[in-house]
Amino acid sequence: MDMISSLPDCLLHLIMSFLTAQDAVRTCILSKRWKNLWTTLPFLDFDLSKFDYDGKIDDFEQRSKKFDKFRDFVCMTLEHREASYLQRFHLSCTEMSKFNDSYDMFIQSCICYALKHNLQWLKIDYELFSPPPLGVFTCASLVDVSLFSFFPYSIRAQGNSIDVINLPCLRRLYLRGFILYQDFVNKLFSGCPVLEFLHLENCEMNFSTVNTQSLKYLKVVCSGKCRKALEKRTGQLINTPNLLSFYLRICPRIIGDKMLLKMPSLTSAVFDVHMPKYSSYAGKSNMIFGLSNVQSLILCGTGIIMDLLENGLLNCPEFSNLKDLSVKGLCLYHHFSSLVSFLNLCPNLEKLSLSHHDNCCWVHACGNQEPLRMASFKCKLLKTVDVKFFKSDSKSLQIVKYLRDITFNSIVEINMSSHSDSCLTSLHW
Amino acid sequence: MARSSTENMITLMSSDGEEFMVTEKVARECTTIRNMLEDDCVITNIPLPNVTSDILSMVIEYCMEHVAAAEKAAAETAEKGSSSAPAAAKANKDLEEWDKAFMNVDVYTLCDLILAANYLNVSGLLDLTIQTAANLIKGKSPEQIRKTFHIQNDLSLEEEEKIRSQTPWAFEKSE
Repeated sequence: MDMISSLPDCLLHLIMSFLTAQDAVRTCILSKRWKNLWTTLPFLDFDLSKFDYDGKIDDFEQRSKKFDKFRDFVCMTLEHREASYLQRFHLSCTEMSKFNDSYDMFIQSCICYALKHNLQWLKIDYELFSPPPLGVFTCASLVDVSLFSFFPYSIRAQGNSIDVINLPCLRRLYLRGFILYQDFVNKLFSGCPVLEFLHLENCEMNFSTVNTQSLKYLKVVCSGKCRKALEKRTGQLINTPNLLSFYLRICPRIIGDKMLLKMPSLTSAVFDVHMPKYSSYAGKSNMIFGLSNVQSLILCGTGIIMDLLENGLLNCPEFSNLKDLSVKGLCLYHHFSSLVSFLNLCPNLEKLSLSHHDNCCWVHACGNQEPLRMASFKCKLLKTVDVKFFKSDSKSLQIVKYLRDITFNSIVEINMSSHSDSCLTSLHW
Repeated sequence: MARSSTENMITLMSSDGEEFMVTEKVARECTTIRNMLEDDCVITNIPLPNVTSDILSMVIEYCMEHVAAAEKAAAETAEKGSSSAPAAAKANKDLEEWDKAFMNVDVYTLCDLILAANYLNVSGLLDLTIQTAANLIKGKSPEQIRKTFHIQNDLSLEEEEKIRSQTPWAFEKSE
């Protein structure tokens, strides 16, 4: 027998796990060795966008035809499978532009099939307004679940529609396009005792409290436009005592005022809060107080940082563990003295990176504003400063020169790079 | 980085009797060997009856490269206090390029490497080789796949027709 066909089933299945289900099933024609291999394959990847189809897909009717072929393929494959075990199941069909009951039924029945086969890994990418079948929330074998809705804020995850959540092995959950209500969030964290990774994308935070011991990595991203400003909600609390890493990239309109973060174990945080100009940030900037134990911190987004630096530092705790700070989207020239007051709260800082944001007022808006206010800071352990700026901008040169002056006593390496050439030029003073 | 003289050396013996001296750190990249060392820490000579010398030398080459890359990254982090993102990204890219070049082998060697990576439990190498094999199948016609892997088609014409008629949904593309 040839070399590849002599590999044991488990290794051939592993190779087939990197193929779409269509490519995997089609290996049945290769030889006798391969004839039935796919029927026990524990990894299935159905993706409408990768589905091999010769017909045209220019209009809705043609796309419908393609979808029908895809649906037939999925149904027949599931029907002819022989294994009782399915480890990974991925279903993606987001090319439809209209929905009907059969689409809904199809998705739901596929998920139900997968859940009956000791499933560990589930990823569904669909265009639905209805929540996934309730079985998803009570499938004890699940370890990793991703549920994506094509449209933001389309699936209501309410406690009264999802009775019980019991996922004793679930470690990672990724939700896109959900509206999350308090009773759902409560049930989620009490029903998933080992949930460590939570990723929310384009979800509406319609809850006031998150309380969980298990969570270690939290990522909240809202890349699209905000649906609407929420009703005035104050004092939202995220209490995650064991969280190690927090990534927030969001428009502040979808979070409430005075959000309180309790994250004492946090080691790294990315805080990117972007907002249209001239909006109010008041009451939002104290969010970063809860990050005060971090070792590595990235702050992005003009408004929130300015507000933080101008108004929010009064009660700000010391960031005594912070070694690596990166600030993006700040008008260095205008806000340098504020930045310096923040640096004075970071006594053990070793590395500082500064760069302007694409939409920053760096050159234009700040042209005629107040001159650089000199201030000094004492970060005795500071070793490296990276500055990214426009080459033509004389003011940034002034900042760099000033940085050199105030850090003259310690051995600081200052790297400058401009946007016209992206590689770092190292200058030793 | 200079190796300290106290670093333990382990001898790995291939199925055809060739001996390879490697540092314990490199040997530990193989989970199978790591488990042996953890069960019995004085072991210094490990026979590997399932791996030939050509393949074993390639597995060792892979492990050494990946250990060196990890050591280099750790040293840079220790030196600068924190890792610089562009440097880390470049190091990753270099290692990816190295992996890609390393995978420039014939299908026989590839299959032997899959078996060895599975037996020695080198997860990085197993992922790399499996992915490489899958890429050779992806989007190809059955005839092309047979040719690539030298698979003898032992199905008679009737049997092949039967399979096609039993699974028409897998082969039709459009009407």
